[in-house]
Amino acid sequence: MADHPLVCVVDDDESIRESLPPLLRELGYAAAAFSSAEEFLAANQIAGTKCLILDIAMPQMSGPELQTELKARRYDIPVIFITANGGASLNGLIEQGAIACLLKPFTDEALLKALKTALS
Amino acid sequence: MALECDLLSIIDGIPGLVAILTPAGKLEAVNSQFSEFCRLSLEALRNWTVNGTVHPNDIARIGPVFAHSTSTGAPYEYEYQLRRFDGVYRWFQVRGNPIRASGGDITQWIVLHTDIDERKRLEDRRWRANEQLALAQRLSATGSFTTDLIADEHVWSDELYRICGLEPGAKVTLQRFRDIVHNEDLSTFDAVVERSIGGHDADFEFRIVTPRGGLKHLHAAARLSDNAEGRPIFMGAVQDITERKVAENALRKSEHYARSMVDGIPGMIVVLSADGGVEYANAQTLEYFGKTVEEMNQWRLNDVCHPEDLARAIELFGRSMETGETFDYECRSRRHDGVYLWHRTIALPFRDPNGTITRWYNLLVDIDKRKRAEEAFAASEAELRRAYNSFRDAQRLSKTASFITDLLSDDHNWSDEAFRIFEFEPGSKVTVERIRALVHPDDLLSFNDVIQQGGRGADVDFFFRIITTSGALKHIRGIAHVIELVEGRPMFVGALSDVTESKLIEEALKASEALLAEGQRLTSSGTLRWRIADDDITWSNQLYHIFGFGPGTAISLERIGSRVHPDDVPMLYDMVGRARSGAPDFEYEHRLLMPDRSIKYLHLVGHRSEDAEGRLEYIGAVQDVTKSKLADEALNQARSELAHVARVLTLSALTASIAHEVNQPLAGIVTNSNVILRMLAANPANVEGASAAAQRTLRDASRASDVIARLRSMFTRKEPSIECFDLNEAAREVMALSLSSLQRNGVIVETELADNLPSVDGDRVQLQQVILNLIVNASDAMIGITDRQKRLAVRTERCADEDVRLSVEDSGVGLNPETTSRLFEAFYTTKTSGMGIGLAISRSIVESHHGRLWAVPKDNGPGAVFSFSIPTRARPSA
Repeated sequence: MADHPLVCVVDDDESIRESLPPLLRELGYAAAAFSSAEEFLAANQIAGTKCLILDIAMPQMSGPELQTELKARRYDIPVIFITANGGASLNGLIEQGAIACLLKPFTDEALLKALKTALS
Repeated sequence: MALECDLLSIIDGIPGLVAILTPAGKLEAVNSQFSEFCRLSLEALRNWTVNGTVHPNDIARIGPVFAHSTSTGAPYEYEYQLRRFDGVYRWFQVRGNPIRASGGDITQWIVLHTDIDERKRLEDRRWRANEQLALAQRLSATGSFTTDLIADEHVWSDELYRICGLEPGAKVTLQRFRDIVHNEDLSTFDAVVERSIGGHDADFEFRIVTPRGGLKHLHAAARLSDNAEGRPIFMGAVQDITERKVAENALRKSEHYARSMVDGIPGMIVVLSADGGVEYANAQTLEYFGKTVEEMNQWRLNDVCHPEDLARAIELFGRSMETGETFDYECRSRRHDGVYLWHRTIALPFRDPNGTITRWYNLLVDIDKRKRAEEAFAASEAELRRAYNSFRDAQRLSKTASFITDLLSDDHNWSDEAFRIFEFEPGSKVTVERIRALVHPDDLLSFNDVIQQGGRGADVDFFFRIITTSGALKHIRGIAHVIELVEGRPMFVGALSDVTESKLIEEALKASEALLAEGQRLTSSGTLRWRIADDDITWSNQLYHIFGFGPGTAISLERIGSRVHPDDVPMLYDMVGRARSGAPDFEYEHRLLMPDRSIKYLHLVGHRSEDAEGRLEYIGAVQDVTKSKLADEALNQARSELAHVARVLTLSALTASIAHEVNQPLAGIVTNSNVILRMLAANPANVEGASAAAQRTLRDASRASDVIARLRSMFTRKEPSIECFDLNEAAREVMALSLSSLQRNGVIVETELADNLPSVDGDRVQLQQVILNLIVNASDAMIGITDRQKRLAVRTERCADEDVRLSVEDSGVGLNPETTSRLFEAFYTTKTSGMGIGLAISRSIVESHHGRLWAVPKDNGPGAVFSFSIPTRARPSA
């Protein structure tokens, strides 16, 4: 399935985990969802992941911490952050190497544009 | 003349002891009274200074007086004690006068002894004598006997045997005794025995010839002691008066001699006939009265005797004439110059051999001084007793010390309390000098003044400080009252008290008054007293200063009103009305508009009180808080800005929270909607997938609404802090916080908090937020009201069903019936600012306390009443 790159979603919110993978598949990607950073790290799919869609605020390891952890493990996976908190400072995350920060709720066009950048 | 030959008997009849001395002072003769008194021979009497006849204590004193007179010829006078035959000393007043021959040489001294023993006893307050004792003593004389005439049995004392020259213990019979009686006296003796057998007492003189042939003059007295069955038993005394008789006979040698003696007696002698007419008066008497014997004879009719004493004198003398008893009466006698002096008149009857009274011999002794001393003594004693009683009471009550002081002799009788105050050893000797040594140096002058004043016999009232040996400073206050025990010698009765404590309090009070005035000046505060009944208002100086009125100008409510800022005048009237209705305390802040248009802010606290007559009055303190008010204004400004910032922050925090919780399901909804659109647009359309996505969309939408519900419940889901508290107290705290803000907005606040309100269980802070919210709303509802007073009332009361209710009533815009139901919805507001969530949150708080919150229009006039009620502890929660 080389023409269907794997996009993984990590979010503690069930609405996102359930709604985002069907959309990604409609857009021509393979998709997998995880409810926490720890669950993602435990799964055997890091190497095959072409793009990560990460929730910023999660109960245990946060999105940016997972990004740092992956860099430490020498995985260079493009990351798209999503958040429901409009007050959060997002510019810093771009500087840290994120592809984009999307505020929930976001449009499919915004998502598609970020994915194309990540996978180009 | 008959009178001349009687003079000798006059001397013997004088009821006093008379001694006649040679010019050199040697005893020459004594009268019968004298020798009867001493029963000593003339020889023995001449040695009276060494044989104890004169009391040894008196010799040293009278010796010089006596010696002086014999060398100068001056009359003398002294008092001394003379020993009676029975060994008893009696006090005599002695007056010695010289008798001079025509050439002026002294021929004799005639010395009159007047018995003053009773007076002495009185003075010494050692009255013990009584008539019976005196009689018994007299009867227990050396020569005593007991006789039964019928049985002819006689018991003699040894002395009697000696007197009669008989062998002591020898058998005595009447006949044996009669054998030695002088022949010439036998008839008298027999007559006496005859009378005695009849039971009559006897008193007679007779002569005996002792077996050795000696002639003796005897004086016998017998008293009936028992007369059982007609058998009289006599007890009696027999006295050898031989020497006296010899002396008497010697005296009789010269009529002239006797007369001069009578006239020389330093006392008044009057001889009365048996019927009381004056037969003779000596020279001193006539000189004293300034009357002739004929005039003296009219003593019952004229002014010789004081009119007040005359009737009694006549009565007593009449009785003596009947009974023959000694007449002894004290009365006032008129001196030639019209002055009445007290005299004691002693009259003894003189009887002829038949026992018939023929004359009365009177001796008038001047007792005026004694009498006056007695009166003064009695008066002062009564006064002393009164004074003592009252002082003793006072002392007990006031812990005051008392004293009796004789300043002249520096003699002080102190109560124990006085010693305690001065820290002297109790009972130690007190002197003025010793007291003076403790007196504070600054008070020495006034102390000396008091002592001087007292020395002059004036009552004194003094105050001085002392420093005791222990170093304590004491304030002593006292008074002393003169009680004149002895003429010209002031004695004081007084009281002392240690007033240190009250003095210190007084000083502290003075200091605190000064401190108060200074404090008022420094704190720009004044005080006032306002008596409601007549609107009598008293101001402190500082208050005049604050109002800018001239000190002391009359203060009325109108005058105060003229200074109060026009906007605050309603508040003034409100205060006046409340005070007149007897409100316990009130507190106001209002402004003054000064003549220079400047504004002063005053803070007034009034406290209800009563004046001395029980009239309602208020004591108030007024502080000029302009400076702090201006600072407050700035602070309030800052506070309200801060409150605004805090509200914005709270709001934004709330917004972010709401946004986060809502955006999550919204993100799901948006994403699912995109999935649906794409699945339905595919060829063929993925209806099944779209349908599943639509299901998820619905679920997310309900999730979003759940978030809102959860948000609201967050207000009540906080950890409740339940405590038992007093709703009145909680309300007062809120009032205190908001009072200044309300008053700044021109709102008049009334509180009516019910007594005995039961405690409630709940979150005190949350309920206070509710109260604060209701008050702020009420205040806001009155913004812009100009046609009526802005009134806000906070009430608490107890409801029937064990609930308590708190209401906040305003006179604001009131409620719109159409919108009342929406009042408690969140975000509903009629205000131009604010979020309108206050009432919603308030209601949720009240409901979490199992209570309810509601609003009704005000009963009378425009306005609204917001109330909540919550159950008390007593009511079990549902």
